[in-house]
Amino acid sequence: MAMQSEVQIDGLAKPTARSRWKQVMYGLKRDKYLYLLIAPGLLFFLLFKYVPMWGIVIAFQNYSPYMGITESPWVGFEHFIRFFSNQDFYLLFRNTMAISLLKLLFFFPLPILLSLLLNELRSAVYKKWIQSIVYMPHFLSWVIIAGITFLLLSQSSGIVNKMLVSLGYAKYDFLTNENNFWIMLVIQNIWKETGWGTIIFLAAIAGVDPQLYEAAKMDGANRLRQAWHITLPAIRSVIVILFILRLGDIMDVGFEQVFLMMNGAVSNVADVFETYVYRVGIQQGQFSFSTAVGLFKSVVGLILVILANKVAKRFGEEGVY
Amino acid sequence: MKRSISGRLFDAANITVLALVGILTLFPLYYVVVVSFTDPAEYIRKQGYVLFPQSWTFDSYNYLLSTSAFKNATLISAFLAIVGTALSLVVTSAFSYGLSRKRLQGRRFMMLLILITILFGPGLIPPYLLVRDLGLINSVWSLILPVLTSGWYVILMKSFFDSIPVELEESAVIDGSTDIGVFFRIVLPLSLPALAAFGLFYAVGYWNTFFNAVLYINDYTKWPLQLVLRNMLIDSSTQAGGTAAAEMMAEQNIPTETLKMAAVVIATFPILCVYPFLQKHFAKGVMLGSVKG
Amino acid sequence: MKEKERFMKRKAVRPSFVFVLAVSILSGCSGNSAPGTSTSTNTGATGTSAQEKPTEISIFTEFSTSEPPAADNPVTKEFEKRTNTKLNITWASPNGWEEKQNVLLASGDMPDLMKIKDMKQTQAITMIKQGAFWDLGPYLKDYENLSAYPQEIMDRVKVDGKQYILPSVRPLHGSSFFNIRQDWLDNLGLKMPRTMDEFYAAAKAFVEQDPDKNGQADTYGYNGKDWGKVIGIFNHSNGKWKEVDGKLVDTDLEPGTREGLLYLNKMYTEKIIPEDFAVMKTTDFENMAKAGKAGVQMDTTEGVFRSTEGARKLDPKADFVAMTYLESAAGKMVHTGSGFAGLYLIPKKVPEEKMKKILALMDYGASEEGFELACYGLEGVHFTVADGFKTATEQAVKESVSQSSFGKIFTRYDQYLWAYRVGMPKDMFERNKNIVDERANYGISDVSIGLLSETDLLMGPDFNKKIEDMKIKVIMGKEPIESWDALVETLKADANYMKIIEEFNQAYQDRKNAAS
Repeated sequence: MAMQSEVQIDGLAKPTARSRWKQVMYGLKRDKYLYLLIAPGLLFFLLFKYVPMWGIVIAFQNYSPYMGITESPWVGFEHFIRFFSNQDFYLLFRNTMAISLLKLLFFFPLPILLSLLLNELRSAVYKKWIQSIVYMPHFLSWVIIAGITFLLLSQSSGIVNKMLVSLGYAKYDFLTNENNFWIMLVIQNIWKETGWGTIIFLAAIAGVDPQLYEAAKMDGANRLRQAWHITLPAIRSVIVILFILRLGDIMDVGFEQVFLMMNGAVSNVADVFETYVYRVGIQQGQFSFSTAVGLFKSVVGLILVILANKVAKRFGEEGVY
Repeated sequence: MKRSISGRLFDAANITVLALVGILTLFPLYYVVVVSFTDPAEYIRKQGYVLFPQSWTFDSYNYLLSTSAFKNATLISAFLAIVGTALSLVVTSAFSYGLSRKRLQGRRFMMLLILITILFGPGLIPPYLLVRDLGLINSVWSLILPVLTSGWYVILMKSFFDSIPVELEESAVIDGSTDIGVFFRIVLPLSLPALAAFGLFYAVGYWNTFFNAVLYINDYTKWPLQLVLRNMLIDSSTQAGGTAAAEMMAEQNIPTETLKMAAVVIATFPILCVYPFLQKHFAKGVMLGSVKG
Repeated sequence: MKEKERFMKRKAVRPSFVFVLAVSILSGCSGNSAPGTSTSTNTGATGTSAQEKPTEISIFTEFSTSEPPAADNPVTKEFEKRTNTKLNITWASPNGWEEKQNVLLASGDMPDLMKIKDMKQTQAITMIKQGAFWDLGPYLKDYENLSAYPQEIMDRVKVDGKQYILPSVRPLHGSSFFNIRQDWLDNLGLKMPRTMDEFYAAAKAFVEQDPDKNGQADTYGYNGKDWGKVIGIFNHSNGKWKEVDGKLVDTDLEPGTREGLLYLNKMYTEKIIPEDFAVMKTTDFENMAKAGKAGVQMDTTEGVFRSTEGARKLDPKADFVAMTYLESAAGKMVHTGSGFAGLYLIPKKVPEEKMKKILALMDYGASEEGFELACYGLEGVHFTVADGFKTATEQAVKESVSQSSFGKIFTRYDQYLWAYRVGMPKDMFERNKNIVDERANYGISDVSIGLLSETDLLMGPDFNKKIEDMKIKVIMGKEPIESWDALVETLKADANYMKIIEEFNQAYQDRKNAAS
């Protein structure tokens, strides 16, 4: 199926099995150098990604490392049933989806916007400086960012609360309040990753043919129209691909960040699949259970990616496969 | 050409907004650097609210740089960042380019194959066993080969190559080049922005190598910088509680904040320097336009 | 005894931050009484015949010096020479050694001597039960120094009544408990609190009566670290479980927990505990103590000296003194330590002869001579002796010779190990020793160490999280105490929760039966 489009030129209306085989061989021979180019990458994926995949089957076992995968007893969907029948499943699902969707909604567009703004800067020097500054927070670990957040927002000595008090307001419990926990996570994420996220878009924008802008200027298109009609379409496929891939890990919200910001007072809104797996699976040495939850998350991701990819293809995009 | 008033207004607003964004991102970084040069006692006294230290001190840096492992670790990390990035870029771009050619048979199947590796991971133990069986334990190659390329980057990079027109190769093929020749002589030079971006991603990834080194490298003389630095600052904040943990901690030296920040600066400064050099490749309008025209 | 020799002399003070940091790494060892020139006899560990080939022994452990000892470290060489072995030590990074431990266990790539973190390593415990490791019980009696490990600790790490595990022993007394600013008590004319009421009164005075006399209301009574221990005192228990009439009782269902929650809630409302206690991390608590903002800090008798030293930079009179015990209606108590920091296992694939050699090696490490070598290194190279005091040299720091490296493998039971830390004045060390001695009279152990329940493995973490979250909310006043009562009722009615209690009791009885 994948090979139809080009090969049909050979003029066979209804390919028999035999002639199909011939076509395949012809294609292989014709593109042998192309196959040579992809060989190392393909080999890598088969060796380092697919050989260890057997690890997934332990989701259906009561895996004991000592007995190994061959001796460990099979339990079918027991771990999945246990996971789904957990009375907190809904809560975990809600929190995970809420944080993920909020990040998708508010964080995802920002790097695009920022790179468009950067692209509009006339001064190359200024642009260089801003670019080099905004991508730096990516390099700070969540531990450091959690520390800085504490300095800003704590009740005992946080700067923001000090300001509130001096303005005559009461202190606010930012860090232990369920109402603003999700927003806080999103803001942290925006601060840390927006600049880093522009890199890929700036690279895509750099590929735009300058003549297009010239032509647009001749036609009297203003900057907004140029951005809309030239720049944005140039990075559209990157945006679409990133978006689809993000949907793939919609069940992951970033363990470290949540784990560090979570505390007893907010755990009703903070507990997500990742923190749950850490607590119930990893810390307890429950390999099979952890794997089962991971598998569930992956399957959900896969379904979303397939759906999103279908939609993207319908709109004439290349998509992710 | 004359600039319209609205255009000028937009420029002014844009400059201001970006300046604001710059300040917002810069401030915490400024804080990290300042704390790294502060005396721990002053940090404690001010309860962390240090905006300008009364006296500057290099003690934290002296301590971190004094260890014998430091020099080695920097070399290892540099090796990973340079050699690893080069290999990764070649493998990733070649693979992505191949997949971007629509005539390639089985390309959709291969794309799906790659996509699945993004979504499904096998956990900790199977990869360890693989690395062991390949005889890579204790070898720096265990920090490169298992992360040589990634599905994310292959799929993203492919989208960059998608826009390279087939006609370009065809003309070259007529001149007697093979696909490999076309790739190296025509496609890569046209894709400098993409190479710069993905090169940065890989370089940062290799430079930050940490966890794989914990698992795969027993010989500490082969540990990368991040691991060596973190060993000096045992971080209790993500450790689980419990009596035993508390008692193990009692014997440790909880690192001062100033030391932590110095480690952050040391660990990130070299890689931060890479970006400005790559930046020129992000300049608008590479050759592609001229070739097409 | 040789009091003076216990006491490690402070090296001439150099104003180098680096140096202070490096030297304090040695701290843990310094309580040891090994004299400079040891005369202790060989303990059967050494390979006597020179012709015998050295036994190759691979070891997996961790370290918390700034670097691990190199492969050709002189102390390693000396151990090899003295015990006729060839040591191949994997020093795993302290960040992530648990993961590495799990991977090694799972992959079967285990060394001859394998370290695991604690009795909660389900995977290791399961493997023990499946017969992956040697039962050392029958052999230990042949090793004089290992046999000298306190029975209390050895019993605690038994699995199915057998001694598969060799603990890395640590003192039982002197573990983490309340430490109070003695100078603040003196400033306010208060006496050392002995009851929870007095404790509350002192902590409240620390907030309201300007104990540091700086004219500002900027102090907290208690920084809130490990607040669970407050509840423990009201229950007269160390941790969740306590023994009543030979049975295990879950203290979360007891009135003591409720009482403790109300007590803490009162402290929170009156700002005796910082508003942020629920989000503060270890360093935040400690920094608060160092900044002279907290009257009570939770730490070991040794570890609290970090806080004292920090606070002294701002107030030279600052003095955290470890409390001996606290008394509630349930009785006087102090928390006893687990008695170990890490556990060692020998895989069954190691031949019996070699297993004995490994025990001999560990036995040597538990001798006075061996422990001295592990903690201090070689005389003249890593430490010098003057007037009977041992002083670590910079070489020791450079070569990572410390309890935080070799002391992670080789240990000898020393009850005063946690009474001393480098830099501590002598009177404070003496005071701590008395406190450690006295604590032995009031110590309560965690009876649940090493007990396993299948249901708890599956559902315990969820229950515990609900319980802990509710506790925090009640303390912070986000939920009324009635919500706690309701939760307790729910738990009592929960079949799974009751099953956990039942299974822990069963495990407890089994252990008792196995011991008798």
